[in-house]
Amino acid sequence: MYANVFKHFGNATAVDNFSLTVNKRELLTLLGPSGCGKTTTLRMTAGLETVDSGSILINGKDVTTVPIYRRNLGMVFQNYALFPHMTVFDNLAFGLKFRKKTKNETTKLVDEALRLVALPGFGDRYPRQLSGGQQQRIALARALVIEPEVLLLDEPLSNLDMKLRRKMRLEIRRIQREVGITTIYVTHDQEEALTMSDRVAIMNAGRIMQVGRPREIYQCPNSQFVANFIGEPNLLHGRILSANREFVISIDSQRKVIAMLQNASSEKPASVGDSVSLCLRPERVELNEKSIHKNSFAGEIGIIEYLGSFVRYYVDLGRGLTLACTRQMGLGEPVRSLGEKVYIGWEPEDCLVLPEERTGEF
Amino acid sequence: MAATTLVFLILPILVVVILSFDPRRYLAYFPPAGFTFKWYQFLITSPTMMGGLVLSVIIATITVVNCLVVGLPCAYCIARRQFRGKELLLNFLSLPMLIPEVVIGISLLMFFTRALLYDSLTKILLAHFLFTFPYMLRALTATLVGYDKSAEEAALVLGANQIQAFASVVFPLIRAGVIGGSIFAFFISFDNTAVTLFLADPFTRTLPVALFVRLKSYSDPVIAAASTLLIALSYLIIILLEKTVGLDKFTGIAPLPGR
Repeated sequence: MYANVFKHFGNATAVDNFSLTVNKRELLTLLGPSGCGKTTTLRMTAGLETVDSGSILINGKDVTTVPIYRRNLGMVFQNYALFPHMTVFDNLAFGLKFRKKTKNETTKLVDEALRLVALPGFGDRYPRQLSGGQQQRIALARALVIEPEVLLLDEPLSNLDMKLRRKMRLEIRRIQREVGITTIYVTHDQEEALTMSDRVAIMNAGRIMQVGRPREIYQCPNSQFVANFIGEPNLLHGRILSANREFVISIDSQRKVIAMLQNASSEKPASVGDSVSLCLRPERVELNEKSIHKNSFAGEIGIIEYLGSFVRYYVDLGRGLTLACTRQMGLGEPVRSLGEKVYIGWEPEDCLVLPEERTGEF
Repeated sequence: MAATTLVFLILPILVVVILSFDPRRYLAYFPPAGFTFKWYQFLITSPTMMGGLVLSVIIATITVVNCLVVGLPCAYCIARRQFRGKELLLNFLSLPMLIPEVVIGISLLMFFTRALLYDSLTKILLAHFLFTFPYMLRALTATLVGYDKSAEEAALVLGANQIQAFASVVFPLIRAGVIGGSIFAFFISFDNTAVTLFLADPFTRTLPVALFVRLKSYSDPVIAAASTLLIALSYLIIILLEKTVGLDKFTGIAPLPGR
């Protein structure tokens, strides 16, 4: 649990009033762009960075001033940080040396850890003889063998290629569930965050923007930043014209969008005249030959990106406005052609009204 | 191509080694007139030569220790911290590598005389430290820079305190640099002729100086025999190094962990 944690580096505030409770046995991801303070927060949890103010509690115990080597945490580093001059067995046994285990106990625990990460019998090898994925798993085993209270992972998959990353994601999640350990995971990759976590905390410039389950964050982002960070939305900017039973928002002099009243998410309710952002997910818009939806605009297909299982169309609506639309390709479904004239449309409940980023409120 | 270069480099040394067994009393033409060990015998029984050898070894050893004591903290700071003038300091500390030995020798002699330092052994020790230090510093810094700090952090998180982390993680990794730097420094000090020549006196003669002095009066194969012995010694040490540490490590190319 983090309570009002602050951290400065010189003049820069790296972590700004960070308060968060991590539940037992859950995997919580700190997600955000580089420099948002997520790694700093993780390192403060481990004790590798000092806390300027605020406190960190683990299982109710205040560990803010406890030295690193007494915190009983497991940590997996981005580059694994295995000890190159020791065998795998010695690497794993290292942490156990400080915990008063007999030789038999150590061997047993190490063997169990190796079995857990699906690398039994690897004890005699050296780190340099292992592949990237294997080193990763050994690093994980080393962190877990000491039976820590919390597991910390600092972008552990960044050094792996795409396929391996996907495979390891599942592995880590499986292991985490099997052990049932409270885990904090740091990454800038939203796919990792969405697929692995129980909850995600999105950070920017040292602050938490939103915390919630992956689905909540994706479907109900609370700000333009969050909406933009997860997925690749269309963002329209406009001004509220009226707000009776529904929002009518003008996006430029001739075009208006209708959105649901309850889609707005902010503490302060929106009122007429406010500047807003409209978050429109590309998979929620449709392309048709006629104007069917409540929100519908005529345009021409400008760019087509074929991605195998789905296609992304960029539709040019004139006067500088382009919207992206993605369609899962069904069997035999034809791909549209460049320059085709279509109507791009969506219903009011498919878009989300968000505060304009500059002020952060309506 | 490589073979030609190799032959070109080794051939002169080979000639020297072969001539050291030549019974003729002067450094004559190749091929040798016979085979004898008498020059080696002379070397081993000569008090000047053996005394010189012992002195050289002692001086070299002390120099290595000095370099390590000063060099390790220096290398740690240079590898870990950023401070103003770091580049400048590094270049400055590397100067002795660039200045000709004769120049170093003369200037030191003048300096020591002015400073009223007359004891030859002290002068030699100071001078040797001066020109071996850049090499030691480089070897140490190279290893320290190449090694990954997160291994140290991992050790700490796993439960080791600072000292334990240093002993079990950091030191084994820089050991290669320490050994490499030490060997380098040892040989540079041992082989040094020019500077030591300026600072020696008749009672403190290192082996190279003793050989040089002898060469002025006699030009017999003793010098060849001494050279052969030194070559053999160096060769042995390199083999030892390769077996224990691995040559790639101490030339400053340490492998990054975790890759």
